Amino acid sequence: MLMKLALRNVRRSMRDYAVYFVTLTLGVAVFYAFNAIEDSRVLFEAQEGAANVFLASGASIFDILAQVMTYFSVVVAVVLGLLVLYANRFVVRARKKEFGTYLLLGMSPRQVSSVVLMETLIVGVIALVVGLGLGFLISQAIAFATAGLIGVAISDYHLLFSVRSAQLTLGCFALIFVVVALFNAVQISRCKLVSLLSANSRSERMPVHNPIVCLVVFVLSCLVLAKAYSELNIDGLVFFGEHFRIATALMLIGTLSLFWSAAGFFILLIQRLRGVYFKGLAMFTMRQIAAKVNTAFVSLWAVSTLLFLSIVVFSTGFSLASLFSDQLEENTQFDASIRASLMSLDVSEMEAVPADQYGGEEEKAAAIRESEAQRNEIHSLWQANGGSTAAYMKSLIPDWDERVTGSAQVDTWLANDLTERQLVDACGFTLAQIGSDENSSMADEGVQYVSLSQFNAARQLTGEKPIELASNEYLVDNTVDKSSEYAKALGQKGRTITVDGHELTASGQVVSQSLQVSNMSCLIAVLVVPDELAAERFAAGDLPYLSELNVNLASNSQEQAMKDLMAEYGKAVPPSEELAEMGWTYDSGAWPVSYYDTSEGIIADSMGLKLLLVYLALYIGFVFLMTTAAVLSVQQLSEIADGIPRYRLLAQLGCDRGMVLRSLRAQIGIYFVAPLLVAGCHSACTISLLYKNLLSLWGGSAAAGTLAIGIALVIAVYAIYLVSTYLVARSAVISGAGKKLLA
Amino acid sequence: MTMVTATPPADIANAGRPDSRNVLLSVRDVRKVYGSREAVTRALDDVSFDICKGEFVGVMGPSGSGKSTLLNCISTIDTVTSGNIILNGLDITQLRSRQLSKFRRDDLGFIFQDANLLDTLTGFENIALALTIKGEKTDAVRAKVDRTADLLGVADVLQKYPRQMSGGQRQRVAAARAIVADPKLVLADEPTGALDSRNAAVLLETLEVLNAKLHATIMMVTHDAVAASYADRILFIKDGKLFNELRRGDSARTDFYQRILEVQAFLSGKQGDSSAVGFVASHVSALRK
Repeated sequence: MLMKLALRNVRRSMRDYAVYFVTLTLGVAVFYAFNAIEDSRVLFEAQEGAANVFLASGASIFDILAQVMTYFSVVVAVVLGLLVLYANRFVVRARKKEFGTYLLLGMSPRQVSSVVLMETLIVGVIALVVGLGLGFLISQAIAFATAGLIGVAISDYHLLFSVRSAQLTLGCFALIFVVVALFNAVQISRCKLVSLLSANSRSERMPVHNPIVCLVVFVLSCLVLAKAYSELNIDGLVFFGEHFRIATALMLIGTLSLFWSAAGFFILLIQRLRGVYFKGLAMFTMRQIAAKVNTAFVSLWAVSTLLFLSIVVFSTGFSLASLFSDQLEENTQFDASIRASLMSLDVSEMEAVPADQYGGEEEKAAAIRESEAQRNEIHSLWQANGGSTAAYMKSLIPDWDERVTGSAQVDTWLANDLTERQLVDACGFTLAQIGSDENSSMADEGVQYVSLSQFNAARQLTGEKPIELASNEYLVDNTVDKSSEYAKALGQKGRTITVDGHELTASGQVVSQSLQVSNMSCLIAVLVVPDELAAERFAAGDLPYLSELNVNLASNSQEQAMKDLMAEYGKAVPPSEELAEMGWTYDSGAWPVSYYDTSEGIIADSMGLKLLLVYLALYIGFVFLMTTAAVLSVQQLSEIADGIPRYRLLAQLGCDRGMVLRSLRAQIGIYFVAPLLVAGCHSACTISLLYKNLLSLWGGSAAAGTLAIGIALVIAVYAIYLVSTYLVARSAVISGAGKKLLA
Repeated sequence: MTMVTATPPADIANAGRPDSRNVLLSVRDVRKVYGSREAVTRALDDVSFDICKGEFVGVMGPSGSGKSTLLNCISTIDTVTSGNIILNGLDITQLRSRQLSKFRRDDLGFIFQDANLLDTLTGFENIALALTIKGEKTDAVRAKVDRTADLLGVADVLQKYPRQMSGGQRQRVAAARAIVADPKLVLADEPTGALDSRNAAVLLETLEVLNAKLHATIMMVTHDAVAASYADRILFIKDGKLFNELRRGDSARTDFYQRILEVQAFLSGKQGDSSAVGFVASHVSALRK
């Protein structure tokens, strides 16, 4: 019997349940789809080119994805749970009178609660089924998107259903239902019959703010926001220091007071515009929005803040992802790079460090002596091999030539008599302009240079033609976008600089030649100079700052080939017991192998990062967006349901359907767009700063397109909610005012 | 002593047709039937009457008599089953939906039982709305609203919201809204229903003023004899039929009121409903205050 009543109620109050249902369905779909990503691994891991799926550590991208998604799903579940509660509260509120009638007719509160529980359950089960179906479709789309993102073709496609994700979804939403049911039961049992029956859902409280106060507060909040933007600009989102905290606080306060005063301010403004104010239903529309904004300014504030977060997450997530993959090709021109970092052996650096960091003068002296000895040992080894790392490796690994098809050594030296800061100043730039920091320790280090012969060897290994330089000429190699202007200035033909006692003239050539395998472009205006500079330094007993040996391998499987190669090397240079325990197969403290990177590993890392960023951005961004849009929608619909008598009156006074619907469109449109506009301003400020200070460092131009995609997605999701809210409201108003009146 | 007829006199079908040139509203053989074939309710059964320009007509009848249906049909909120309603030469039963809206905003003014002001708008805006939806020139709106508000004595509450006004003020603002756009016909549906007797008197005097000074044509539906006594002429409806007609003529309002009571008593007596007597008595005392 109660079941029958519940079924009938659901059918009858379909409209009340519409937004609740849509929200629940989308929530289930998204929750399932993103938790199902892990299980799409079977499509990829056995495929051609599946190496892309495995990170350098050997773990699959999907392991990490699953971990992160599960972690974030907890957050998402909480947000969705609150959202469902919120939407449900409106369903109950709108029907208080109906529940009162049940009680009056002699049903016990327990029975009424169970009718509501059954209704919730019916809607919930339908939403779960529809949502899982939708999620199933979305997860197939995601599988193809994954294939596109990591560049693996799916040859053996079949439909995937993730039981694990479905269980997770069911469990999570079952929990949400239980909470909702308890909440409803408590809410109904605590209600007094008289208050249920006389529950006039029409809002009695309608705060009106003094227009003059509004004007002042509105102007003040604009100023506060401007101040927030400028504060944000100081730290530039590079540091999250005091300015960032002040900016955040100001932004929150400014936005809140903006919404508090906006309605009053705009009324004051519009009342001055007779042409607008006295036009059709403009007065009505304006007052309706004002009444809504004045009562709900706190939730508008929260909505706007959440929107701001989701726009930033959405768009920057995409931009970062595209950045990492754009640079990938440039930075993986060799199969692998073997690195020897020699900067830790710099004795002059060690002497500058206070003694107590070593634990006393004696210890410091001992450490310096040790470094000195190590340096000398490396220097003599190097010298014995004619300065060639490859020759030394060959002497340790008998089948080196079978394993390695080509190599190019690049030694990076730091000039003794010219610092980065001096050179940047001389070219008329500041360190900040080239993406460096005024206080960076690198700024006072010498200018980086490499020898022409090594530069050309690396170029030839990548299949490029060598570049000729006359004696006493230099050229500039730059791979970082941010410093490209500086590189042009530095390489301008005829510029003369003195490096390590040699006077050099710019040849006018500025190239972008990657000299190692790395996950990020890292050559900031490196000088390419005649060989004698390095030769003289070496002869004087100096070592380069960094020595890299780029190799091309015989085997296609780079990670495995390098592992094998290093195992061979480790036979000659065995790791210490400690290192062996940590998994090293060679002594990473010895010259010439501190560590190595393979292109394969870099690509997989980057793909994994890209997937992670894109999916997280989608997941979090979408859930936030959906939450805000649903809250706005629920508010609108309940407000309009309460205001039906007003529309009936308008129709009686002779407003035709067109006028009433135009007003309705304006109300819903403005209520939806206002928080989006505010959030849009905040996002524009934040994202432009991100671009200026962070993204451009890695090549921002390509990210603009993906930023547009992010914004388009935000607008699309928002528009779906706006349109469906309007359609539901429209039918409510037309049927509420009487079809005859608004025919 | 008024002549109370048990059956409508022959000429009542064309009641109030002394001067056909001056007729504003003409209701002809209007029938309104609710329900399906098995259970037919005749809410209006061949009702015909005329209202002249500048007349203040009351429509009385017990609940369920069809007086509200009649009002709804004239205001085009409801449609007739058969018959014609002609306002100023235009047969409004033949209008299409778009034209109906235009008719309502251009030719009619409404006063509802519970004022029915928009609670989100100020008094000024509530009145101005009737002009702006008509497409009134924006320059003229303020002056017209102010003039009407002055006339109805609500100039000092124009900047207030309806919930900040008294019931009487609300109803007078509603009256201002009804006449500000200079409609051909003002329809009032139990305008004093939600007011105490003092405020009711003020409002009714206001309607009298509108009628006398602005020559507004008013049709007021009421079941309150006191309210009805302010009208020039009263039509009684019972069971969907026009039953009787009273003209005030030159008699004083209290005399007219007595005559109304007699007709009402007769109507109630015929129904065998004695409770109506008590109902009337309470209003007599209200009137004497």
